[in-house]
Amino acid sequence: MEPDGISAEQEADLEALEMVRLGDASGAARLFQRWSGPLLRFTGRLLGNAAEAEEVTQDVFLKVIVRAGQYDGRASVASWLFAIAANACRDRLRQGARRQKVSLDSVVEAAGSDIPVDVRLVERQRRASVRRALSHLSDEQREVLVLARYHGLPYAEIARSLSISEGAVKTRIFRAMETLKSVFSEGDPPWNAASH
Amino acid sequence: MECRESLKVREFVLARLSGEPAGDGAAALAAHVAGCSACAAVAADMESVWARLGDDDASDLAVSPAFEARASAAMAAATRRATNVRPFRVPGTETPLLKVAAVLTAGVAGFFLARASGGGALPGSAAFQPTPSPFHGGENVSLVANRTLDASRAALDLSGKPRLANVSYTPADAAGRVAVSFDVTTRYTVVGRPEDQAVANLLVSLVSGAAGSEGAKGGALDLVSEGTRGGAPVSPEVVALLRRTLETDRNPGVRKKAAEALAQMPPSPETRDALAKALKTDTNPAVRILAVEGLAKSAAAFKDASSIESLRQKAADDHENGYVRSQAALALSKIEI
Repeated sequence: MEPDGISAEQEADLEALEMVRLGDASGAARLFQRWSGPLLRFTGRLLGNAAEAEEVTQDVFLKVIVRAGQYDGRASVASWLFAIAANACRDRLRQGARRQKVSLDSVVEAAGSDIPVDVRLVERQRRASVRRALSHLSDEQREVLVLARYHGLPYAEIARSLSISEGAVKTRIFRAMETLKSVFSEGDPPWNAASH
Repeated sequence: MECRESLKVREFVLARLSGEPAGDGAAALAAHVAGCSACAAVAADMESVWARLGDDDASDLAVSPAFEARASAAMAAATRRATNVRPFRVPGTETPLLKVAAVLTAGVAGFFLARASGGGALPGSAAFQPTPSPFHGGENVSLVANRTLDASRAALDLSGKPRLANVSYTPADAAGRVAVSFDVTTRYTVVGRPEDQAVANLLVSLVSGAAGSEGAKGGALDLVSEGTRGGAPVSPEVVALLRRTLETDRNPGVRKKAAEALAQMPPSPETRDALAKALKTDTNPAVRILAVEGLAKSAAAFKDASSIESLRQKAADDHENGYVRSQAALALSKIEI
Protein backbone atom coordinates (compact mmCIF):
# COMPACT_ATOMS: atom_id res chain seq x y z
CA MET A 1 0.00 0.00 0.00
CA GLU A 2 1.43 3.31 -1.03
CA PRO A 3 1.08 6.25 1.30
CA ASP A 4 0.65 8.75 -1.50
CA GLY A 5 -0.52 8.83 -5.07
CA ILE A 6 -2.83 6.54 -6.97
CA SER A 7 -1.24 3.26 -7.96
CA ALA A 8 -2.45 1.12 -10.85
CA GLU A 9 -4.10 -1.20 -8.30
CA GLN A 10 -5.95 1.69 -6.69
CA GLU A 11 -7.10 2.90 -10.09
CA ALA A 12 -8.32 -0.64 -10.83
CA ASP A 13 -10.23 -0.64 -7.54
CA LEU A 14 -11.84 2.69 -8.43
CA GLU A 15 -12.86 1.32 -11.81
CA ALA A 16 -14.32 -1.81 -10.25
CA LEU A 17 -16.25 0.28 -7.75
CA GLU A 18 -17.58 2.44 -10.56
CA MET A 19 -18.78 -0.73 -12.30
CA VAL A 20 -20.52 -1.78 -9.10
CA ARG A 21 -22.22 1.60 -8.92
CA LEU A 22 -23.43 1.26 -12.49
CA GLY A 23 -24.96 -2.12 -11.70
CA ASP A 24 -22.31 -4.25 -13.40
CA ALA A 25 -21.95 -7.48 -11.39
CA SER A 26 -18.41 -8.06 -12.64
CA GLY A 27 -17.26 -5.00 -10.64
CA ALA A 28 -18.13 -6.68 -7.34
CA ALA A 29 -16.51 -9.90 -8.57
CA ARG A 30 -13.29 -8.03 -9.31
CA LEU A 31 -13.24 -6.43 -5.87
CA PHE A 32 -13.96 -9.81 -4.30
CA GLN A 33 -11.08 -11.47 -6.15
CA ARG A 34 -8.69 -8.80 -4.95
CA TRP A 35 -9.88 -8.10 -1.42
CA SER A 36 -11.77 -11.13 -0.07
CA GLY A 37 -8.54 -12.74 1.18
CA PRO A 38 -7.21 -9.74 3.11
CA LEU A 39 -10.68 -8.94 4.48
CA LEU A 40 -11.24 -12.53 5.58
CA ARG A 41 -7.91 -12.53 7.42
CA PHE A 42 -8.70 -9.13 8.95
CA THR A 43 -12.17 -10.10 10.18
CA GLY A 44 -10.93 -13.53 11.28
CA ARG A 45 -8.27 -11.98 13.49
CA LEU A 46 -10.74 -9.48 14.94
CA LEU A 47 -13.57 -11.94 15.57
CA GLY A 48 -11.51 -15.05 16.35
CA ASN A 49 -14.01 -17.18 14.47
CA ALA A 50 -13.56 -18.35 10.88
CA ALA A 51 -17.26 -18.94 10.14
CA GLU A 52 -18.24 -15.50 11.37
CA ALA A 53 -15.35 -13.97 9.48
CA GLU A 54 -16.78 -15.42 6.26
CA GLU A 55 -20.23 -14.05 7.08
CA VAL A 56 -18.89 -10.59 7.82
CA THR A 57 -16.62 -10.58 4.76
CA GLN A 58 -19.55 -11.50 2.53
CA ASP A 59 -21.61 -8.74 4.20
CA VAL A 60 -18.86 -6.25 3.40
CA PHE A 61 -19.25 -6.91 -0.33
CA LEU A 62 -23.04 -6.79 -0.13
CA LYS A 63 -22.78 -3.42 1.59
CA VAL A 64 -20.39 -2.22 -1.11
CA ILE A 65 -23.00 -3.06 -3.76
CA VAL A 66 -25.65 -1.06 -1.91
CA ARG A 67 -23.41 1.83 -0.89
CA ALA A 68 -21.14 2.18 -3.91
CA GLY A 69 -22.58 5.63 -4.57
CA GLN A 70 -21.58 6.79 -1.09
CA TYR A 71 -17.85 6.33 -1.64
CA ASP A 72 -16.42 9.85 -1.60
CA GLY A 73 -12.83 9.14 -2.63
CA ARG A 74 -11.25 10.62 0.50
CA ALA A 75 -9.57 7.34 1.36
CA SER A 76 -8.55 4.52 -0.96
CA VAL A 77 -11.12 1.89 -1.88
CA ALA A 78 -9.10 -0.59 0.19
CA SER A 79 -9.33 1.62 3.27
CA TRP A 80 -13.04 2.04 2.67
CA LEU A 81 -13.46 -1.75 2.54
CA PHE A 82 -11.46 -2.21 5.75
CA ALA A 83 -13.54 0.54 7.39
CA ILE A 84 -16.78 -1.26 6.49
CA ALA A 85 -15.29 -4.53 7.75
CA ALA A 86 -14.09 -2.95 11.01
CA ASN A 87 -17.54 -1.48 11.65
CA ALA A 88 -19.21 -4.80 10.91
CA CYS A 89 -16.86 -6.60 13.31
CA ARG A 90 -17.49 -4.01 16.01
CA ASP A 91 -21.25 -4.48 15.58
CA ARG A 92 -20.86 -8.23 15.88
CA LEU A 93 -18.70 -8.00 18.96
CA ARG A 94 -21.00 -5.41 20.55
CA GLN A 95 -24.15 -7.36 19.91
CA GLY A 96 -22.59 -10.47 21.38
CA ALA A 97 -23.41 -12.26 18.17
CA ARG A 98 -20.67 -14.76 18.69
CA ARG A 99 -23.17 -17.49 19.32
CA GLN A 100 -20.77 -20.38 19.57
CA LYS A 101 -17.29 -19.22 20.17
CA VAL A 102 -15.24 -21.75 18.25
CA SER A 103 -11.58 -21.41 18.99
CA LEU A 104 -9.58 -20.99 15.83
CA ASP A 105 -7.03 -23.53 17.01
CA SER A 106 -9.75 -26.17 16.69
CA VAL A 107 -10.48 -25.37 13.06
CA VAL A 108 -9.61 -28.32 10.87
CA GLU A 109 -7.16 -27.38 8.18
CA ALA A 110 -7.30 -28.46 4.59
CA ALA A 111 -6.09 -31.99 4.09
CA GLY A 112 -3.54 -32.97 1.50
CA SER A 113 -0.77 -30.67 2.65
CA ASP A 114 2.78 -31.87 2.03
CA ILE A 115 3.91 -30.45 5.37
CA PRO A 116 4.46 -33.16 8.01
CA VAL A 117 1.79 -33.42 10.68
CA ASP A 118 4.14 -32.52 13.55
CA VAL A 119 5.30 -29.36 11.80
CA ARG A 120 1.71 -28.37 11.08
CA LEU A 121 0.81 -28.98 14.69
CA VAL A 122 3.59 -26.66 15.89
CA GLU A 123 2.55 -24.01 13.39
CA ARG A 124 -1.03 -24.27 14.55
CA GLN A 125 0.00 -23.95 18.18
CA ARG A 126 2.08 -20.88 17.40
CA ARG A 127 -0.81 -19.32 15.50
CA ALA A 128 -3.21 -20.09 18.32
CA SER A 129 -0.79 -18.58 20.80
CA VAL A 130 -0.73 -15.32 18.85
CA ARG A 131 -4.53 -15.30 18.51
CA ARG A 132 -4.90 -15.82 22.24
CA ALA A 133 -2.53 -12.95 22.87
CA LEU A 134 -4.47 -10.73 20.45
CA SER A 135 -7.66 -11.55 22.34
CA HIS A 136 -6.16 -9.77 25.38
CA LEU A 137 -6.26 -6.47 23.51
CA SER A 138 -9.23 -4.13 23.42
CA ASP A 139 -11.21 -4.20 20.16
CA GLU A 140 -9.85 -0.76 19.25
CA GLN A 141 -6.22 -1.76 19.87
CA ARG A 142 -6.64 -5.03 18.00
CA GLU A 143 -8.10 -3.52 14.82
CA VAL A 144 -5.36 -0.88 14.62
CA LEU A 145 -2.56 -3.34 15.28
CA VAL A 146 -3.91 -5.88 12.79
CA LEU A 147 -4.18 -3.24 10.06
CA ALA A 148 -0.62 -2.04 10.71
CA ARG A 149 1.10 -5.39 11.33
CA TYR A 150 -0.66 -7.72 8.93
CA HIS A 151 -2.01 -5.44 6.20
CA GLY A 152 0.78 -2.87 6.07
CA LEU A 153 -1.55 0.12 6.16
CA PRO A 154 0.25 3.37 6.98
CA TYR A 155 -0.82 5.25 10.10
CA ALA A 156 -2.53 7.97 8.02
CA GLU A 157 -4.58 5.42 6.10
CA ILE A 158 -5.58 3.59 9.30
CA ALA A 159 -6.62 6.92 10.80
CA ARG A 160 -8.81 7.70 7.77
CA SER A 161 -10.32 4.22 7.75
CA LEU A 162 -11.27 4.26 11.39
CA SER A 163 -12.06 7.99 11.61
CA ILE A 164 -9.51 8.60 14.35
CA SER A 165 -6.41 10.77 14.57
CA GLU A 166 -2.93 9.55 13.67
CA GLY A 167 -1.99 10.20 17.29
CA ALA A 168 -4.70 7.78 18.40
CA VAL A 169 -3.34 5.19 15.96
CA LYS A 170 0.16 5.48 17.44
CA THR A 171 -1.14 5.34 21.00
CA ARG A 172 -3.26 2.25 20.36
CA ILE A 173 -0.42 0.39 18.65
CA PHE A 174 1.96 1.40 21.43
CA ARG A 175 -0.40 0.13 24.15
CA ALA A 176 -1.19 -3.02 22.20
CA MET A 177 2.52 -3.81 21.93
CA GLU A 178 3.02 -3.25 25.66
CA THR A 179 0.16 -5.63 26.46
CA LEU A 180 1.43 -8.24 24.04
CA LYS A 181 4.92 -8.03 25.47
CA SER A 182 3.66 -8.92 28.92
CA VAL A 183 1.29 -11.62 27.61
CA PHE A 184 4.05 -13.29 25.61
CA SER A 185 6.54 -13.10 28.45
CA GLU A 186 4.07 -14.70 30.87
CA GLY A 187 3.62 -17.96 29.05
CA ASP A 188 6.20 -18.86 26.47
CA PRO A 189 5.80 -22.55 25.67
CA PRO A 190 9.03 -24.50 25.29
CA TRP A 191 8.70 -24.87 21.48
CA ASN A 192 8.49 -21.13 21.21
CA ALA A 193 11.29 -20.24 23.54
CA ALA A 194 13.71 -22.02 21.27
CA SER A 195 12.91 -19.87 18.30
CA HIS A 196 12.55 -16.44 19.93
CA MET B 1 17.00 1.30 35.12
CA GLU B 2 15.04 2.82 32.30
CA CYS B 3 16.59 5.53 30.15
CA ARG B 4 14.67 8.80 29.86
CA GLU B 5 14.79 8.40 26.08
CA SER B 6 12.99 5.04 26.21
CA LEU B 7 9.57 6.48 25.30
CA LYS B 8 10.97 8.13 22.18
CA VAL B 9 12.87 4.96 21.37
CA ARG B 10 9.67 2.89 21.58
CA GLU B 11 7.88 5.28 19.21
CA PHE B 12 10.88 5.30 16.88
CA VAL B 13 11.14 1.51 16.77
CA LEU B 14 7.38 1.07 16.27
CA ALA B 15 7.33 3.57 13.43
CA ARG B 16 10.22 1.73 11.78
CA LEU B 17 8.54 -1.67 12.20
CA SER B 18 5.28 -0.26 10.79
CA GLY B 19 7.08 1.08 7.74
CA GLU B 20 6.40 4.72 8.57
CA PRO B 21 8.84 7.25 7.14
CA ALA B 22 11.70 8.18 9.49
CA GLY B 23 10.82 11.39 11.33
CA ASP B 24 13.05 14.17 12.57
CA GLY B 25 15.75 12.95 14.88
CA ALA B 26 15.59 9.35 13.68
CA ALA B 27 19.31 9.22 13.06
CA ALA B 28 20.06 10.61 16.52
CA LEU B 29 17.74 8.06 18.16
CA ALA B 30 19.32 5.21 16.19
CA ALA B 31 22.72 6.36 17.42
CA HIS B 32 21.41 6.57 20.97
CA VAL B 33 20.02 3.01 20.83
CA ALA B 34 23.39 1.79 19.61
CA GLY B 35 25.08 3.26 22.64
CA CYS B 36 22.47 2.72 25.39
CA SER B 37 22.03 -0.82 26.66
CA ALA B 38 18.64 -0.06 28.32
CA CYS B 39 17.20 1.38 25.12
CA ALA B 40 18.75 -1.41 23.05
CA ALA B 41 16.88 -3.88 25.26
CA VAL B 42 13.63 -1.91 24.81
CA ALA B 43 14.11 -1.95 21.04
CA ALA B 44 14.87 -5.68 21.07
CA ASP B 45 11.69 -6.36 23.07
CA MET B 46 9.54 -4.46 20.59
CA GLU B 47 11.15 -6.20 17.64
CA SER B 48 10.66 -9.56 19.30
CA VAL B 49 6.93 -8.98 19.88
CA TRP B 50 6.52 -7.74 16.29
CA ALA B 51 8.32 -10.80 14.96
CA ARG B 52 6.31 -13.12 17.19
CA LEU B 53 3.08 -11.77 15.69
CA GLY B 54 4.34 -13.19 12.40
CA ASP B 55 3.66 -16.68 13.76
CA ASP B 56 0.04 -16.05 12.85
CA ASP B 57 0.20 -16.69 9.11
CA ALA B 58 -3.61 -16.87 8.84
CA SER B 59 -3.30 -20.03 6.78
CA ASP B 60 -6.57 -21.13 8.36
CA LEU B 61 -8.29 -18.06 6.96
CA ALA B 62 -8.07 -18.72 3.23
CA VAL B 63 -10.95 -18.09 0.85
CA SER B 64 -12.40 -21.51 0.16
CA PRO B 65 -14.16 -22.38 -3.13
CA ALA B 66 -17.37 -22.94 -1.16
CA PHE B 67 -17.19 -19.49 0.41
CA GLU B 68 -16.41 -17.90 -2.94
CA ALA B 69 -19.38 -19.63 -4.59
CA ARG B 70 -21.71 -18.61 -1.74
CA ALA B 71 -20.53 -15.02 -1.76
CA SER B 72 -20.70 -14.78 -5.57
CA ALA B 73 -24.32 -15.92 -5.56
CA ALA B 74 -25.20 -13.43 -2.81
CA MET B 75 -23.42 -10.61 -4.66
CA ALA B 76 -25.21 -11.39 -7.93
CA ALA B 77 -28.56 -11.32 -6.12
CA ALA B 78 -27.65 -8.04 -4.39
CA THR B 79 -26.62 -6.48 -7.71
CA ARG B 80 -29.95 -7.46 -9.25
CA ARG B 81 -31.80 -5.94 -6.29
CA ALA B 82 -29.69 -2.77 -6.39
CA THR B 83 -30.26 -2.22 -10.09
CA ASN B 84 -33.90 -3.28 -9.81
CA VAL B 85 -33.67 -5.38 -12.93
CA ARG B 86 -36.68 -7.60 -13.35
CA PRO B 87 -36.47 -10.64 -15.59
CA PHE B 88 -38.64 -10.64 -18.68
CA ARG B 89 -41.92 -12.40 -18.22
CA VAL B 90 -41.84 -15.83 -19.81
CA PRO B 91 -44.23 -15.85 -22.79
CA GLY B 92 -47.35 -17.88 -22.25
CA THR B 93 -47.65 -17.33 -18.55
CA GLU B 94 -50.68 -15.04 -18.89
CA THR B 95 -53.94 -16.64 -17.90
CA PRO B 96 -55.89 -17.72 -21.01
CA LEU B 97 -59.01 -16.31 -19.37
CA LEU B 98 -57.44 -12.84 -19.30
CA LYS B 99 -56.70 -13.11 -23.03
CA VAL B 100 -60.33 -14.04 -23.76
CA ALA B 101 -61.56 -11.17 -21.57
CA ALA B 102 -59.32 -8.70 -23.40
CA VAL B 103 -60.59 -9.82 -26.83
CA LEU B 104 -64.23 -9.58 -25.69
CA THR B 105 -63.69 -6.11 -24.19
CA ALA B 106 -62.07 -4.85 -27.39
CA GLY B 107 -64.92 -6.31 -29.48
CA VAL B 108 -67.68 -4.79 -27.34
CA ALA B 109 -65.92 -1.40 -27.29
CA GLY B 110 -65.51 -1.50 -31.08
CA PHE B 111 -69.18 -2.40 -31.52
CA PHE B 112 -70.37 0.58 -29.44
CA LEU B 113 -67.90 2.88 -31.13
CA ALA B 114 -69.20 1.87 -34.55
CA ARG B 115 -72.80 2.45 -33.44
CA ALA B 116 -72.00 5.84 -31.97
CA SER B 117 -70.34 6.95 -35.19
CA GLY B 118 -73.38 5.98 -37.32
CA GLY B 119 -71.75 2.94 -38.83
CA GLY B 120 -69.98 4.91 -41.58
CA ALA B 121 -66.38 5.86 -41.97
CA LEU B 122 -64.66 7.45 -38.99
CA PRO B 123 -64.75 11.25 -39.06
CA GLY B 124 -61.73 12.71 -40.69
CA SER B 125 -60.55 9.39 -42.03
CA ALA B 126 -59.49 11.07 -45.21
CA ALA B 127 -56.92 13.01 -43.24
CA PHE B 128 -54.93 9.86 -42.26
CA GLN B 129 -52.21 10.66 -44.75
CA PRO B 130 -48.48 10.10 -44.25
CA THR B 131 -46.64 13.13 -42.93
CA PRO B 132 -43.01 13.96 -43.59
CA SER B 133 -40.48 12.31 -41.31
CA PRO B 134 -40.35 14.21 -38.00
CA PHE B 135 -36.58 14.67 -38.24
CA HIS B 136 -36.67 16.54 -41.50
CA GLY B 137 -37.44 20.16 -42.12
CA GLY B 138 -36.73 21.28 -38.51
CA GLU B 139 -40.14 20.24 -37.24
CA ASN B 140 -40.40 20.33 -33.48
CA VAL B 141 -41.42 16.89 -32.23
CA SER B 142 -42.73 17.05 -28.72
CA LEU B 143 -42.24 13.93 -26.62
CA VAL B 144 -44.70 14.29 -23.79
CA ALA B 145 -46.50 11.73 -21.68
CA ASN B 146 -49.95 12.61 -23.02
CA ARG B 147 -50.55 14.37 -26.25
CA THR B 148 -53.95 15.04 -27.83
CA LEU B 149 -54.06 15.53 -31.56
CA ASP B 150 -56.89 17.32 -33.35
CA ALA B 151 -57.58 15.02 -36.28
CA SER B 152 -58.88 17.89 -38.37
CA ARG B 153 -55.52 19.65 -38.16
CA ALA B 154 -52.92 16.88 -37.74
CA ALA B 155 -52.05 13.90 -39.83
CA LEU B 156 -50.67 10.60 -38.54
CA ASP B 157 -47.93 8.74 -40.31
CA LEU B 158 -48.74 5.08 -39.80
CA SER B 159 -46.75 3.88 -42.78
CA GLY B 160 -44.10 2.37 -40.52
CA LYS B 161 -46.81 0.23 -38.91
CA PRO B 162 -45.93 1.23 -35.35
CA ARG B 163 -47.25 -1.00 -32.62
CA LEU B 164 -50.22 0.65 -30.93
CA ALA B 165 -50.59 -0.55 -27.36
CA ASN B 166 -53.14 0.01 -24.60
CA VAL B 167 -55.78 1.20 -27.10
CA SER B 168 -58.90 2.73 -25.60
CA TYR B 169 -61.92 4.45 -27.17
CA THR B 170 -64.09 7.31 -26.00
CA PRO B 171 -67.64 7.50 -27.42
CA ALA B 172 -68.77 10.57 -29.38
CA ASP B 173 -69.20 13.84 -27.55
CA ALA B 174 -71.95 16.42 -28.25
CA ALA B 175 -70.11 17.50 -31.39
CA GLY B 176 -69.98 13.91 -32.59
CA ARG B 177 -66.22 13.56 -32.05
CA VAL B 178 -64.80 10.24 -30.83
CA ALA B 179 -61.36 9.66 -29.35
CA VAL B 180 -58.90 6.81 -29.79
CA SER B 181 -56.02 6.66 -27.34
CA PHE B 182 -52.96 4.45 -27.58
CA ASP B 183 -49.33 4.15 -26.53
CA VAL B 184 -46.77 3.97 -29.27
CA THR B 185 -44.02 1.60 -28.35
CA THR B 186 -41.93 2.51 -31.34
CA ARG B 187 -38.34 3.14 -30.38
CA TYR B 188 -37.09 6.61 -31.18
CA THR B 189 -33.58 7.03 -32.46
CA VAL B 190 -32.25 10.54 -32.69
CA VAL B 191 -29.41 10.77 -35.16
CA GLY B 192 -27.15 13.78 -35.42
CA ARG B 193 -23.88 15.39 -34.43
CA PRO B 194 -23.36 16.11 -30.72
CA GLU B 195 -23.51 19.83 -31.38
CA ASP B 196 -26.87 19.51 -33.18
CA GLN B 197 -29.52 21.07 -31.03
CA ALA B 198 -31.74 17.98 -30.86
CA VAL B 199 -28.85 15.70 -29.85
CA ALA B 200 -27.46 18.24 -27.39
CA ASN B 201 -30.87 18.73 -25.78
CA LEU B 202 -31.38 14.99 -25.51
CA LEU B 203 -27.95 14.49 -23.90
CA VAL B 204 -28.57 17.34 -21.48
CA SER B 205 -31.91 15.83 -20.58
CA LEU B 206 -30.40 12.36 -20.04
CA VAL B 207 -27.50 13.65 -17.91
CA SER B 208 -30.05 15.62 -15.91
CA GLY B 209 -31.70 12.34 -14.98
CA ALA B 210 -34.51 12.01 -17.55
CA ALA B 211 -33.94 8.28 -17.89
CA GLY B 212 -33.86 7.81 -14.14
CA SER B 213 -30.81 5.57 -14.29
CA GLU B 214 -27.18 6.22 -13.45
CA GLY B 215 -26.18 4.01 -16.38
CA ALA B 216 -28.00 6.23 -18.89
CA LYS B 217 -26.43 9.29 -17.29
CA GLY B 218 -22.94 7.79 -17.51
CA GLY B 219 -23.54 6.66 -21.10
CA ALA B 220 -24.55 10.19 -22.16
CA LEU B 221 -21.41 11.59 -20.55
CA ASP B 222 -19.29 8.96 -22.29
CA LEU B 223 -20.81 9.99 -25.62
CA VAL B 224 -19.97 13.63 -24.95
CA SER B 225 -16.48 12.66 -23.86
CA GLU B 226 -15.90 10.62 -27.00
CA GLY B 227 -16.87 13.60 -29.11
CA THR B 228 -14.61 16.02 -27.25
CA ARG B 229 -11.70 13.60 -27.49
CA GLY B 230 -12.00 13.79 -31.25
CA GLY B 231 -12.02 17.58 -31.11
CA ALA B 232 -15.66 17.89 -32.17
CA PRO B 233 -17.30 21.20 -31.30
CA VAL B 234 -19.61 21.12 -28.31
CA SER B 235 -22.78 23.09 -27.85
CA PRO B 236 -22.87 25.72 -25.06
CA GLU B 237 -25.71 23.81 -23.41
CA VAL B 238 -23.52 20.72 -23.07
CA VAL B 239 -20.61 22.76 -21.66
CA ALA B 240 -22.96 24.35 -19.11
CA LEU B 241 -24.33 20.92 -18.26
CA LEU B 242 -20.86 19.46 -17.73
CA ARG B 243 -19.96 22.38 -15.46
CA ARG B 244 -23.12 21.90 -13.45
CA THR B 245 -22.57 18.14 -13.23
CA LEU B 246 -18.97 18.60 -12.12
CA GLU B 247 -20.04 21.02 -9.42
CA THR B 248 -23.14 19.36 -8.07
CA ASP B 249 -23.37 15.66 -8.85
CA ARG B 250 -23.00 13.60 -5.70
CA ASN B 251 -21.54 10.64 -7.52
CA PRO B 252 -17.73 10.79 -7.92
CA GLY B 253 -17.88 8.51 -10.96
CA VAL B 254 -20.25 10.89 -12.77
CA ARG B 255 -18.15 13.92 -11.77
CA LYS B 256 -15.07 12.12 -13.07
CA LYS B 257 -16.73 11.63 -16.47
CA ALA B 258 -17.78 15.29 -16.57
CA ALA B 259 -14.23 16.39 -15.67
CA GLU B 260 -12.80 14.09 -18.34
CA ALA B 261 -15.10 15.56 -21.00
CA LEU B 262 -14.24 19.13 -19.98
CA ALA B 263 -10.51 18.39 -19.83
CA GLN B 264 -10.56 17.02 -23.39
CA MET B 265 -12.33 20.03 -24.88
CA PRO B 266 -10.44 22.82 -26.57
CA PRO B 267 -9.57 25.14 -23.64
CA SER B 268 -11.93 28.03 -22.99
CA PRO B 269 -12.56 30.34 -20.02
CA GLU B 270 -15.65 28.28 -19.15
CA THR B 271 -13.81 24.95 -19.05
CA ARG B 272 -10.87 26.53 -17.22
CA ASP B 273 -13.06 28.02 -14.47
CA ALA B 274 -14.96 24.77 -13.98
CA LEU B 275 -11.77 22.71 -13.75
CA ALA B 276 -10.06 25.21 -11.44
CA LYS B 277 -13.01 25.03 -9.08
CA ALA B 278 -13.01 21.23 -9.18
CA LEU B 279 -9.27 21.16 -8.48
CA LYS B 280 -9.86 23.32 -5.44
CA THR B 281 -12.98 21.74 -4.00
CA ASP B 282 -13.67 18.26 -5.36
CA THR B 283 -13.22 15.55 -2.74
CA ASN B 284 -12.24 12.86 -5.22
CA PRO B 285 -8.55 12.66 -6.19
CA ALA B 286 -9.33 11.11 -9.58
CA VAL B 287 -11.49 14.15 -10.43
CA ARG B 288 -8.73 16.49 -9.26
CA ILE B 289 -6.15 14.71 -11.42
CA LEU B 290 -8.36 15.20 -14.49
CA ALA B 291 -8.79 18.84 -13.49
CA VAL B 292 -4.98 19.18 -13.42
CA GLU B 293 -4.79 17.72 -16.95
CA GLY B 294 -7.39 20.14 -18.26
CA LEU B 295 -5.84 23.15 -16.55
CA ALA B 296 -2.43 22.19 -17.91
CA LYS B 297 -3.89 22.35 -21.44
CA SER B 298 -5.50 25.67 -20.66
CA ALA B 299 -2.30 27.08 -19.18
CA ALA B 300 -0.25 25.88 -22.17
CA ALA B 301 -2.72 27.36 -24.64
CA PHE B 302 -3.39 30.73 -23.01
CA LYS B 303 -0.49 31.04 -20.56
CA ASP B 304 -3.09 32.65 -18.35
CA ALA B 305 -2.07 33.52 -14.83
CA SER B 306 -5.21 32.01 -13.36
CA SER B 307 -4.56 28.43 -14.57
CA ILE B 308 -0.86 28.63 -13.71
CA GLU B 309 -1.66 29.90 -10.21
CA SER B 310 -4.21 27.11 -9.64
CA LEU B 311 -1.60 24.52 -10.59
CA ARG B 312 1.09 26.22 -8.51
CA GLN B 313 -1.11 26.28 -5.41
CA LYS B 314 -1.96 22.63 -5.86
CA ALA B 315 1.68 21.59 -6.34
CA ALA B 316 2.57 23.34 -3.06
CA ASP B 317 -0.43 22.09 -1.07
CA ASP B 318 0.88 19.94 1.80
CA HIS B 319 -2.57 18.49 2.44
CA GLU B 320 -3.03 17.31 -1.12
CA ASN B 321 -2.68 13.75 -2.37
CA GLY B 322 0.94 13.21 -3.48
CA TYR B 323 0.03 12.04 -6.96
CA VAL B 324 -2.16 15.09 -7.61
CA ARG B 325 0.67 17.35 -6.41
CA SER B 326 3.24 15.67 -8.60
CA GLN B 327 0.93 15.88 -11.63
CA ALA B 328 0.43 19.60 -10.99
CA ALA B 329 4.18 20.13 -10.67
CA LEU B 330 4.79 18.13 -13.84
CA ALA B 331 2.24 20.21 -15.73
CA LEU B 332 3.89 23.42 -14.56
CA SER B 333 7.30 22.20 -15.66
CA LYS B 334 5.99 21.69 -19.21
CA ILE B 335 4.56 25.17 -19.59
CA GLU B 336 6.88 27.52 -21.41
CA ILE B 337 6.43 30.85 -19.70
